[in-house]
Amino acid sequence: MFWNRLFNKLKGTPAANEQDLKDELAFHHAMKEREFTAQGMSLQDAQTAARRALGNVTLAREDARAEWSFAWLGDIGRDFRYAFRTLAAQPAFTIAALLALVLGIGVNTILFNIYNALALTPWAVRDAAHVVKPVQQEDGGSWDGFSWPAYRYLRDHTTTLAGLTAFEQMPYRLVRNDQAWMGEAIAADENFFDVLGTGFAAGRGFTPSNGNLRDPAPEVVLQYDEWLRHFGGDRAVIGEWIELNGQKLQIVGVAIEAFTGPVPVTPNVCLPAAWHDVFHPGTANLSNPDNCCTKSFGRLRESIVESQALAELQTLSAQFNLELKRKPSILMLTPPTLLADPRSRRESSAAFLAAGVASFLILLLACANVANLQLARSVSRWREFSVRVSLSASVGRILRQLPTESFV
Amino acid sequence: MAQQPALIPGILDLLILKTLARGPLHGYGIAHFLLETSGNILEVGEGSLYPALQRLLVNGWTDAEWKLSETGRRARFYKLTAAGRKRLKIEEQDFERMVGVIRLVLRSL
Repeated sequence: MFWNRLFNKLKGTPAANEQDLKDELAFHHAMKEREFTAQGMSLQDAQTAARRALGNVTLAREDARAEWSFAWLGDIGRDFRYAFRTLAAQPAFTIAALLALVLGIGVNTILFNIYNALALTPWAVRDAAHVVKPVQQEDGGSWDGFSWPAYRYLRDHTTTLAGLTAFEQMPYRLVRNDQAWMGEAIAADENFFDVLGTGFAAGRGFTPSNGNLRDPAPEVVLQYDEWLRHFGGDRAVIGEWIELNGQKLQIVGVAIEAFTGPVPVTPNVCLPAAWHDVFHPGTANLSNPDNCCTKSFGRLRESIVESQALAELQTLSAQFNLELKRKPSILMLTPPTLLADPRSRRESSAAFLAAGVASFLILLLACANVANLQLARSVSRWREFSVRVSLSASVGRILRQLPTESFV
Repeated sequence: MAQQPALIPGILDLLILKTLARGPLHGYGIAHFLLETSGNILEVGEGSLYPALQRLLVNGWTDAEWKLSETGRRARFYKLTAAGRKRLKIEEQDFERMVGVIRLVLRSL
């Protein structure tokens, strides 16, 4: 019934309804005139009589229009205005309620934003949905990256991935024009920028080394922020030689602004992977199959699903371990977000759970406070309601006002 | 204005529905019919007729359509819908019951 009425009310436009009504009344008028002339009146008399018989046409139209309109809409508008007025009249209540709600909602929003950035937003690479991060677990230990040799084996044999790339992390000290600063660098495989599909704001990526690990190309790619901060965003720095960890390297490119690096690392500079062992004499990360923690990222080929890629990588890994007579390991593919990394997941999940519960409690407290304030206010408004009821406001009308106020 | 018996609220709707049960008719025709069949007593002003017609329309009991009237002018003809027919039956019964009750009270003294 209600929906029928609503539908009928909305069927015609108000203007069309209005026009219908006007024409209709004009017709009525004309018919009345005819009637009176048929009774023998002069045309002028008939017109006057008809007008008299019709009475107040405007009022008739008003009343007829009222059948179409939504009287309660006006009521709601009045309720809102009244609610705002009472809030303005009681600034202490308003400020207290607002403060409680702002704090509660603010804390929750901030927490969600952090969680969203870390856990849900993939990292800024081309078509991030197809990027996977393989990790492995040896002997029931923790989930880690591969050794560099294992990574290279997978990279060279995979067919389900359009590309697999990896990097090692290292600190750097950079000297340029008698200025020196330190930061975090990644020593990435030379296909790093191709696989991830990030472009360059200036310059290019690494020169292919054709597997030559002894004598890496003396090249470095700057991260966009680093370029702005220390190089003034100057394109002329491409081709410039700088000193990094005591080695002369040439700047060949600047990564695009959106590329902030593989979470959770934000590297300031990228070097060819082979530099890692040069800068860390005595370590042999690139050749030691017992080493862990090379972070690798793969891009799924079109029409390949994760489970297919995982099955293939698992087989390749088993072959590699068999050749080197190592214990087999279990592989897993994770999305390239921070919390997807099994190593950080456990700790960060616990941290987020704690923070989430805390902020939920804060919101709950805020709501409870506001509810208490409202309650206290209703008690003190007892008189107001009594007055309104005795001024013949319907109970429904007052009940309708309360939710409107709490909404405001 | 000549004195005429005051209509019980809601009765006008019943009378209009009943009038339309004979067939589609425009507002003027309805007023005219009511006047004639009531022996020139029920003079329905458009101040109440047209709001009532709109009410019936909104409730979905009637449908309106612009057609040429018998005098060659365009007029808005109302006709009963199925829901309107059902409503008429209900209102007729209600009315009979109400009149019976009123009569009962009036004759009790």
